[in-house]
Amino acid sequence: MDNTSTVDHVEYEVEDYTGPAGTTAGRLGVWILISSEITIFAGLLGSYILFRIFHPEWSEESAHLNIVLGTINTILLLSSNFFMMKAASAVEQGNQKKSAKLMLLTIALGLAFLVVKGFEYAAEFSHGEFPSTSTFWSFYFLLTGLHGTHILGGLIAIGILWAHAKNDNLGELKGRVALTGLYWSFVEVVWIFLFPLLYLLREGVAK
Amino acid sequence: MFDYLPEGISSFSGDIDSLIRFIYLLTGIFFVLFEGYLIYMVLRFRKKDGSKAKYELGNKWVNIQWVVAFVLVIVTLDFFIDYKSTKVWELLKEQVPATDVNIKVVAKQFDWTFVYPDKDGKYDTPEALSSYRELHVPVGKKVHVILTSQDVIHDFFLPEVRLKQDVMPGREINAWFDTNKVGTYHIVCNELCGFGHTRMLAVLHVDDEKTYEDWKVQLYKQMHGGV
Amino acid sequence: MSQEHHQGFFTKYIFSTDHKMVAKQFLLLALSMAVIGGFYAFLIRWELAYPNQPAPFFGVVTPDKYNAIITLHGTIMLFFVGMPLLNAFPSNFLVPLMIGARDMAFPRLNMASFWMTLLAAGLLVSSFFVPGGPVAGGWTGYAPLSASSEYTGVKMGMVLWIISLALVFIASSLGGINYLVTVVTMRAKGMTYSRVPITVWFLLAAALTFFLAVGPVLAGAFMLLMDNVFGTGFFLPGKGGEPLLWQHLFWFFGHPEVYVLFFPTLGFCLDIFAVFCRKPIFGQKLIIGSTVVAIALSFVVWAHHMFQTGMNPTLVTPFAITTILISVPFAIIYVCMFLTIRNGSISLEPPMLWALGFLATFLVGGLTGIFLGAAGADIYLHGTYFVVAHFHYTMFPSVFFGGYAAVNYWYPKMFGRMLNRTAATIHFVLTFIFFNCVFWPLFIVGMGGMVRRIADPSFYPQYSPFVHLNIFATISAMCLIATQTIFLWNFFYSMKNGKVAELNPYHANTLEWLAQSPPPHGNWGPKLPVVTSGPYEYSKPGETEDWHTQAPSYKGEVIHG
Repeated sequence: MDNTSTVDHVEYEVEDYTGPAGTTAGRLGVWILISSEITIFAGLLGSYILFRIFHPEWSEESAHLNIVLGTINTILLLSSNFFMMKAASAVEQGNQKKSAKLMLLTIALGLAFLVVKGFEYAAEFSHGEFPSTSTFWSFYFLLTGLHGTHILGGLIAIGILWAHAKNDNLGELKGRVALTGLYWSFVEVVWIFLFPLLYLLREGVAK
Repeated sequence: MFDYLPEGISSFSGDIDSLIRFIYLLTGIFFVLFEGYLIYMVLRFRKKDGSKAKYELGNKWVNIQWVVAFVLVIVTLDFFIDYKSTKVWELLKEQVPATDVNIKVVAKQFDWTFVYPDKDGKYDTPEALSSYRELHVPVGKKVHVILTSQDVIHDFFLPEVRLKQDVMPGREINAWFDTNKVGTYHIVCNELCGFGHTRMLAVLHVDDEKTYEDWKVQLYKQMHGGV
Repeated sequence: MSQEHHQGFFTKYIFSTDHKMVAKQFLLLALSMAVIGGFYAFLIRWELAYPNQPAPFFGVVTPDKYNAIITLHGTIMLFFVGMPLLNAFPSNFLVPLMIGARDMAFPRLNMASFWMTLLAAGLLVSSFFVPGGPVAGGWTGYAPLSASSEYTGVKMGMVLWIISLALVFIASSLGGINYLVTVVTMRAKGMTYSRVPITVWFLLAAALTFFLAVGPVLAGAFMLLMDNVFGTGFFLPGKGGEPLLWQHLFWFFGHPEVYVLFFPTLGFCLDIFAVFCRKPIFGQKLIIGSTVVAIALSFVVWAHHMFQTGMNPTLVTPFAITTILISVPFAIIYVCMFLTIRNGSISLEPPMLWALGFLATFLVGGLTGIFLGAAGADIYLHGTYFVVAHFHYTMFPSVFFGGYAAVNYWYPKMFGRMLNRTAATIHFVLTFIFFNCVFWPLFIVGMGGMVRRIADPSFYPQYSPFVHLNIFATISAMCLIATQTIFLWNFFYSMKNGKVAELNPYHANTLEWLAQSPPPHGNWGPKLPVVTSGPYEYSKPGETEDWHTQAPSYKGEVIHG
């Protein structure tokens, strides 16, 4: 990385922004962001878990969730993450066009997740299951809704990177593919907690 | 500080008051010590020609041991305060003594209703007595109150008794108190409960046995439109 | 990193990514919101001294308006004055300068953080004008009162308040990310962690504490929003909800939050003591270690705000113990501050006056906390004016004594001019006197049983002995608020008319004093400073000067910016 920049025709010394153990600023920033986001979902999930402990009757309500669609979504998100990882390696290898294809796949799978979720919501509404129906449903819609907005945000970020990569135009944004991948894995991990806690704790299923 | 502390009228008001005064004594000593030393330092160490500040880093244990020791003294005193406080807490909040005076306190936006049970101990029969904004208790007896709210969180505060307990919707919370002096005292809502919070007062009448019974009879007659 | 060569008006003043401009924007926001928050304080005190009489510039403060005003006063002072003044403004201005960097790690992020905060402030102010009026559930927003308009009569105002808070929380978290990453990755050569000034450490401690604590309250805010708007019942027992959940989520954040507002002031005061006593700070390692312990403990004390809620009474003991334990690190830091001053060579310039005033007033706040942490005493004192006095004796010193200390101290670097010293001194003396006159009487009426958040004390015959104390507090409050105009005048007037400041008027060691006043875009000349010593080499034996800058080889070339 060039160690100087030029302003007013004077060479300015600039920092090489690498912290301890090769942590770049961006990577550290995303980790800090993730740690803060974890506390939001921890607050929500913690509250949900406490409620469930005191409301065993919720397992009846959670039985109404579509476990098949939930499983499909889990697979979609896991695959989406897999391809994002490959996209990040492709960038490292210098192959932006390949990474663009992989990112497109990532986005497609992520969008599919949202579409499936949309179907689920529609079915739930048609059964008269709304956020205000009961506190279980309030938590379900809040948890999955908040998670869904994070998916949407991630897809937008990946989309922007895809648009640059497909024209070999990442430039300074190269490092951001791996960072966005890191964020994307966080979104997946949240789902790994949500899925069993919402879908799998139900009557008739041993915990 | 204590000019306006209301007279205590329960068996434990003295305990709470002496706890508060004890804390005041200890914190007062440290207040004087620190403020005094601060003023002393500002006067003693003013910039003067010829005198120089001392280059001391305070990173060696031999220096900081005194800081730690001093703070440990403070903390020990604090734990001692807490020990005394725990005694009071356990007495008031962790148990309800046996008593035959049971009253349900129903809080709602923005008044208090006090329900006296019928002879079977039930609160929702026509025989139970409802008193609006007036709580009567017999002097010298332990009173068990069952607190509940019909809407938002309120707080049942009896200043002279030194009792305070949040009142929650959807729950019945048990509290107790006793009184040792006949008279008229105050009940205040101590948790913001809406725009009428400022008007949510009630009155505590501590009656001798006869007046108490007479009042209940009166109330019964009032409620049932009798002679 | 590339630098913009020429900055037009918009890039320089409005949409600036330069950390110093962002800092000044936050400062101006804080001062503006303080005017509103202070006006509300005036209305509160007016109503308490002269109930139901029309207040000047406002009219009668009816009970519903009173509830809105106390809510807004708290919300504004904590989140739109306190955090911008103590966290955003100093972190943005000082962090890159004190570590020898040219700007933040993510310059656009902090610009975004400012605009989000401004938007949040705008939303809050707009809530004054919507049907139903502004939020009225107390700044603590306890449910079920805050969870449904059927209880407060306020719908839109509550929604705007929740969204405004969510925005300012997110904005502050984003800022915190920036400060941390900047310090980890952009320190100048030779600036090892042990040579980083303690102000930076405390600003980081605040940022870290904030973004680790804010999650649960954001979760609670989403739930509260849904209760208000979508008819859910997270906190409504009638719908299967639990009111106490809100309090747990809120206070899990709320308690660390008060330390977020306290840490920066500790940092400013320590650095100010070092400079104005010409002495190293005492016990630097002990202070930093204590801060780490304090942060950890701050996450396990929250339920001491909830002793009287009817939560399981046996929970009280563990929280009372952790509450006592957390006084240990803070007592250590407080004593180290005293030992920094002791054996020093003290000059009583305004920044030093504010720092000393902080020590004097915060002590009262800290000691009175002991009354409340003892659950048995808290039975009587909870919810009375004793609590109000306690938290004003901690918050006002942290926010205003600390904030004014920072502004007075770094003003020459920010604007290239000195504040008028006489006016600044008078401002301090009057503020100190009037502040104590407002809040000390509140301990007394609180001990007398006067409860907080009541609009009309005249309705309570048992409070009639307090009338003269309440009037005294109100008149003092009006004087306190009026005194702040001295500061506002001084602040704006001296920007153009103050004495031109030399580069390092206080002969301080830290790096920011080597930069120009104000530092240009990019902060330093062509070469970054190279650090060869720590920030506290004052009055070192054997040296001719009683100070020793951290980067003696740096030459402050004038550059165009």
